[in-house]
Amino acid sequence: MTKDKLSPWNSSTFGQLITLTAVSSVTAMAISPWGRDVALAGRQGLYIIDLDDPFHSPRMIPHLTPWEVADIQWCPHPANSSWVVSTSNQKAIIWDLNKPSDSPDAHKHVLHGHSRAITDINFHTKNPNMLATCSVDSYVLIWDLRTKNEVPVLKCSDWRSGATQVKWNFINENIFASSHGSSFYIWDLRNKAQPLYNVQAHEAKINGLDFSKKNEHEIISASNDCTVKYWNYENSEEPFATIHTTFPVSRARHLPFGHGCGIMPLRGGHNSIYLCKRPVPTPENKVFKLENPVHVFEGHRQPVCDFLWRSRYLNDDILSSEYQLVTYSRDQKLILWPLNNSTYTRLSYSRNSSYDNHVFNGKKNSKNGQFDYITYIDEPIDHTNNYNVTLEKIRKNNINLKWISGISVGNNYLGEEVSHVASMLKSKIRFEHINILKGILTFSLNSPIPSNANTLMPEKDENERDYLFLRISFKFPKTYPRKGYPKFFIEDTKEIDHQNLLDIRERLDVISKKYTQEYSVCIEPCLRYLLGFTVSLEDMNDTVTNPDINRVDDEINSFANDKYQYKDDNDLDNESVSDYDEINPKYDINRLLENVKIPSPIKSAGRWTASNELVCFNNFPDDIMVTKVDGYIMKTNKSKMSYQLKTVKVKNELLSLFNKDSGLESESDEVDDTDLRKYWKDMCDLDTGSNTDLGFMQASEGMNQFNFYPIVGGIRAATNFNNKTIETNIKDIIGKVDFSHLIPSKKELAHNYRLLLEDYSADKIALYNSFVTSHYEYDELSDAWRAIHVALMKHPQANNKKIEMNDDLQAFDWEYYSNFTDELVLDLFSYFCRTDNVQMFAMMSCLLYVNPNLKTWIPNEFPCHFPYTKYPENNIANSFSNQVTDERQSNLVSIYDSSLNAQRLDVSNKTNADDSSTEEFTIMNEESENNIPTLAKIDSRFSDEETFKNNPYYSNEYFEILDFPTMRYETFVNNPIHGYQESVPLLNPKLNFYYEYFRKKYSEMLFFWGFPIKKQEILKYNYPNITLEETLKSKEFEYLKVGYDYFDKHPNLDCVYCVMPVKNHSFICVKCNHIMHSHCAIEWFNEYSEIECSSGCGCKCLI
Amino acid sequence: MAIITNSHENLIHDASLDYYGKRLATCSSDKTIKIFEVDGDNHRLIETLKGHDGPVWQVSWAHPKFGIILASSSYDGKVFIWREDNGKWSRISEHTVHKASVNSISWAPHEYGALLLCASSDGYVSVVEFKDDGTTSSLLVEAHKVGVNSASWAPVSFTDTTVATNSNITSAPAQTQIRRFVTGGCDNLVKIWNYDYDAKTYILQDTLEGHKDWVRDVAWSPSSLIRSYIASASQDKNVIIWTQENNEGPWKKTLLKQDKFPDVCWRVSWSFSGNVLAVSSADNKITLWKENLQGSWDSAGEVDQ
Repeated sequence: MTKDKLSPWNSSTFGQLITLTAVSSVTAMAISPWGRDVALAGRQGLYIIDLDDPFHSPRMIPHLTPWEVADIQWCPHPANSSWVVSTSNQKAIIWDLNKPSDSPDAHKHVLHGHSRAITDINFHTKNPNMLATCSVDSYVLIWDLRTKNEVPVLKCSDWRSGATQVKWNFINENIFASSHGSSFYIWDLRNKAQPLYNVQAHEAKINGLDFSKKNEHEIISASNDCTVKYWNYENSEEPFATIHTTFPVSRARHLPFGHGCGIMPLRGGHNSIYLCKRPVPTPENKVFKLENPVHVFEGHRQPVCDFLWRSRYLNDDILSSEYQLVTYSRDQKLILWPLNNSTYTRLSYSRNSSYDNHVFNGKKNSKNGQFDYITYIDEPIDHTNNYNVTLEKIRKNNINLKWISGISVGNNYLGEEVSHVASMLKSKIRFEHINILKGILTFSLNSPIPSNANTLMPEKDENERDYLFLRISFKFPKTYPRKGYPKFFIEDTKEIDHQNLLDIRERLDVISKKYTQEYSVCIEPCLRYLLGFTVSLEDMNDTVTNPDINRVDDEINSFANDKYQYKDDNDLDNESVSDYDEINPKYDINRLLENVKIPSPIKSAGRWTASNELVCFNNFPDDIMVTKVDGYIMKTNKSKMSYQLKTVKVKNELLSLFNKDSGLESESDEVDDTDLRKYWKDMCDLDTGSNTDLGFMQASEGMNQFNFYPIVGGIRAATNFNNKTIETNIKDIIGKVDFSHLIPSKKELAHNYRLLLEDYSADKIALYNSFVTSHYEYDELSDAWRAIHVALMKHPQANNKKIEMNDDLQAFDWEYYSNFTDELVLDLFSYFCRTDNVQMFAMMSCLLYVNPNLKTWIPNEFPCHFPYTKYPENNIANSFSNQVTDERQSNLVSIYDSSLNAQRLDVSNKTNADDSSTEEFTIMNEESENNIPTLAKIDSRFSDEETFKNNPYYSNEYFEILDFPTMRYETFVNNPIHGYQESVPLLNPKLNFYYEYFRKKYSEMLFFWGFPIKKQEILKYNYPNITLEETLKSKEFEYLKVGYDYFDKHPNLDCVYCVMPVKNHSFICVKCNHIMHSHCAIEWFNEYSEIECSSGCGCKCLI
Repeated sequence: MAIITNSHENLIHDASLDYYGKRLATCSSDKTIKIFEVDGDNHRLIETLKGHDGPVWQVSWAHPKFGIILASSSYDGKVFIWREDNGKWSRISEHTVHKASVNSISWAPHEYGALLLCASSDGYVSVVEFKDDGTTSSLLVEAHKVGVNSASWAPVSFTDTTVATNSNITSAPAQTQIRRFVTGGCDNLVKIWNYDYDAKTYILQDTLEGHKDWVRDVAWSPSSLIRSYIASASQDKNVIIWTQENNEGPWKKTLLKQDKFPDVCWRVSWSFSGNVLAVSSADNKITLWKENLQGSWDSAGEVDQ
């Protein structure tokens, strides 16, 4: 493949900083000896990248393997310049890039001799048919590709530890070195498996070896013990120089120029490559530190996989050559780094730079001119097979936009813009050709623009429009986008007439000029115009968007003037940096990327807190003077003040002025003009003099807003204020505003809600909770509780009963809507889930919880709700007596009434009694009126937090105050009652997850509010097993084996009381294995006099 | 109403109250962080933390189960972790992988452990894990090439609620957790990232297009379990609410307000429960919003500073 002959001296990428992003994970890299192609190898296969045209999609040679590729090398010999060798676990594969990637010929050789993974491959430095491999199996194998059957010609081994590196000597063709563990061996081919030298080199594993190209016996080793050692193995068993680093070293290699070495960390070391001078040892000093590296290439975010040198030579003059560093890292970035002359000089490489402007005519690039400067990026054409030719064409058209988006070339933003355009318009346009470095883009698209300029754009539906196929090329000047705009070439087709073509081009010129000037991008608006979108040239903010806008608005300016310059993309130069440096001379700006876009700083905002308040802060602009006087925040507009001072002299003038300008000067619309005017007059009556226009913000206590009420400052007052102003000028303010009324979960309700209430059954507790909510005037919640009350009624007659719903709901007949309760409950749940009312959801899920093992109702026992049972027919009395367990309840046969009535506290006094004969039960609530005062008492107690904290909520004293309303019921049983079906539980088992989730969330909320006992009560419902034994058998407890031992191994157990991790001083229950801080346990068991576990698991820890 | 004034020598950029509402942290262009003790209407400056080399953009309190821990992010590209121990504040960790301004930081739901999500102008987001043994490890994800302005964690949610149902919620296997976060950047896009337990990294799940200018802030509502809510505030003066049902499927886009806000929108913040959104815009107003049952958003209050 030699069709694209270029010279390395024409390369547009040499000497530039370029970043490429690999599409898939790649672990090894090789560069062609002539420095144009890079081969990357990973689990998906090989990728060939042309460094001269990085925007060209890489060629991929598929080779799927589950193993990471350890090493890849490009054959350094001109005879086999298309060969690349890579590892595939225990095999080494030699690829021939001259063969189509999908043909079997692509594998030139497969070398299989190792029994375990290969760690390194090295082509012989002189003989193109020889190579060495080494492996974890401790063997080093030497291969001669001329032998048949592909068997190794030499095997040598360290026997003990796996080999990490194998390298051929550059001078003596028989010598090679391999590293095993912390030592390395020097071998001679003629000496068979007997090493020449064995050097115990390091204290830890050796990761890299590198022979010198100048001295046969000199070798560098790099190791995990954070040292790089220079050896002359012939003379001494000690290194003649050692460089200490702060990181384990992965590779250390001689530089191809000057005198120095490149050091690559295994990890740490800022993921950089360090270039340092060759140490000059003296007999006294052989140990050096990597303190002042000549150059550090910092930019990768993950450890670097490999670093290689790309070079270009001028004929045979070694001093003319120039280098570029190529690195690849685990962050999937391939970076080309430029080198500057000072680096060369400091590494004692005196480069003959007079060749820089020389035109290079030859096509060879190497010291000896052996290699053609070609690329293997294109698939070779197999002329015997026509199919392949078409395939190749298809491939060429398949432009990989993802690849392009991963490339950044110095100051070239075109690639970035193209990838942005591609992401915005990819469905509407087709990329035909992209050459970013040359600045040529070709798109094809279907345009709704009419083919004839004289016809107007037809007003048709999207589907009926006639589309015109256009192919358009953009040619960008080199200076784009800073200066200049593209030229357009539209392909002439027979459908479009010439005049129209000129018109379109003219329009595109206008758009591109305008947008390039304003925003320094123009591809998107041009394409949008061609696609028939409206592209406005006036209000451009709305029509076009782009990521590269230079965003110096007033705010940044004012901010920047304030102290320092924020870097912006269009002046990413040193000015802004130095500005910053002036203020922070020590500041290490080099660490930071230049050319980044930082948003303008936020100057005011609000943030929610856990306690449903909003923390707000604000910085006042410079021209507003803010003062705080006697609890008031005064705001003065400085610029207007001078205006006022000049004009405000005569009262009348003043008044008219105020009237005229009030709209402008007011900070708020809530100005009461008449009041103000009166105030104004009063003030002006005092005296004339200096005057200011003051607005003040009231630091409100009961209000939920800061408001600025503009008032007109009086003369004397103003003078006073002015005195204070100097002292108390406010630049910023932080405050918090209570917005808990917006949050559906309420602390006051949490305090008063009940799940257990002496010996009342669940339905009555629901009714009780409805009283609580109606007391606090949460009508919606009150209605909901009433509905739950209805749903919870244990009443066999319910089936025959007609219930009057409140006005919002329709009249209701149990007979027709036997699923009523299920649906109602489900609706309530979904409503509260939707409105995120954690409290209501959790409360409902507890109160509606059905204990399957509980056949009858036991007062004051958790959980109090029990399932409906199928009552024996015609034996109502029995069924009732089963239910009723104490005397008091015998009167209370069960209620019925249209309890969803709008009159909340008035639970209907006989209202329905005369209704009809079908009414079977009537409620009489004689004492309902009394509830209001009692509930009012709770309120006052609640507001006094101290009192209620000291009184556990169900202490007797408390309970008396809040008695459940007494009711008397009369029953009239007229008709025989039909038995009814066993009911479905009101909680849908499929939603158990949500019930548990909301209970847990509400329990956290309760603890936060200071109700630990209520928290435990809620959590009990998350342990659904009835007996403690069952609970302890359940999954959560399986891993909680015997206490202290477990605690030692898992130091991160959370206290079940306060949910914080337990570090020391703990209380562990030997039965349930739940852990508490000892101080939490004291609080729980002593102060709250509890005996059960705080987790709600039901274990009686203290008994 | 506690009002603190003139606390810093330069612009304030963030103020954050801890979980118990007892400590207020503020940060400023004067490169310092101040900690106030707040008790009712009173406040007292207890500490000034210094160490950043540039304006400090954000401060964020970790969940109290990890101790009294504060994270701060700065223009200098660094994230510092501060801890109070017996009334003494010290810097316990530095996170320096970013190469440009770190614009936003956010602690993960505490169930995941001490994970901090950092969004930087260098185009990356990083997730730093602070392990119990004091070491840290970080994951880097290139999120918005031009620069990331904000990132926010999703609340804990589960792939398969039935799995979680069968066992107890606290002992549901970690793999059923959906760990997600949202990022907003200078490419006008909002992106959703999901943790891939096999790849051990965060994978791009969705890209949401809708803004016409830089996305300044994104916030994932912590409260809703069944429906995910994300609010994104943009320089284009719009706030968009993105919703997704049952943690899967397409994202639905709703403009918070049909007409534009009077100025650039800076911040969005969701209440801890109840799904109330606070929007801060450059006209120094904070507006509150609540969703009605028709699915559109009603104004619920305003703070005019």
